[in-house]
Amino acid sequence: MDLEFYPLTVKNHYRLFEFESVSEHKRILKRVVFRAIPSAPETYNLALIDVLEDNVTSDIEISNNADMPKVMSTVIRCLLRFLDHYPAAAVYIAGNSPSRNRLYRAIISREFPKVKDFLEIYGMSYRDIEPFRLETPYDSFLIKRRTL
Amino acid sequence: MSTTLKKSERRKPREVVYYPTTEACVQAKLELAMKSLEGVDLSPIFGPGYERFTSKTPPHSPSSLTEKE
Repeated sequence: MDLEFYPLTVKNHYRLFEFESVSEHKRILKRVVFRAIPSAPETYNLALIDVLEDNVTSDIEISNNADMPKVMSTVIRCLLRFLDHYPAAAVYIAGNSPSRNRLYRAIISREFPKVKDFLEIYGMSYRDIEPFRLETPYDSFLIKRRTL
Repeated sequence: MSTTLKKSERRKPREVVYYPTTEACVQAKLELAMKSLEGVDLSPIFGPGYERFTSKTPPHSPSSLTEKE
């Protein structure tokens, strides 16, 4: 969370965030969308999307814009701002590939000591949920504000 | 004659999925999330009494799929 991050635009009652990933070669509009999961009250899916020309979007795995740490830091900012406004919500995060899940796990592992006092983080594997543990592979993650 | 491919050459390139709109992409990801959560007990997160997740949307619950961006 101490990393540099991109400026954010907030829309749709803090359920949609936009920012631009910028490098010497290109600019990529990225959207972070929180969407309520039907029939799972208070549970939202986080989608990170690249917006291409003509508003076409992709779930492209790697944008190759040489700024992955900054992009991920910005996504974390989006998540925290969303949870500020929806404190009872849990956010479901799953990568679109095993390598993306490993990246998410590495980021969560790195940030875990800094956020564990105010965030509850759970790992899900084979439909079992447990409090996040370091060095443990997961298919997906659920994050919510810690309840006092 | 045999040729040995480098590891990077053997790797199958990942297919990138394109969607016509953000909404279509979000909807696709939402459906994946619902499929992944099907039958999962979320009570460790929300406490006892939280019903096991089912992809069936109760008729009285507001559909979030029509949210405007």
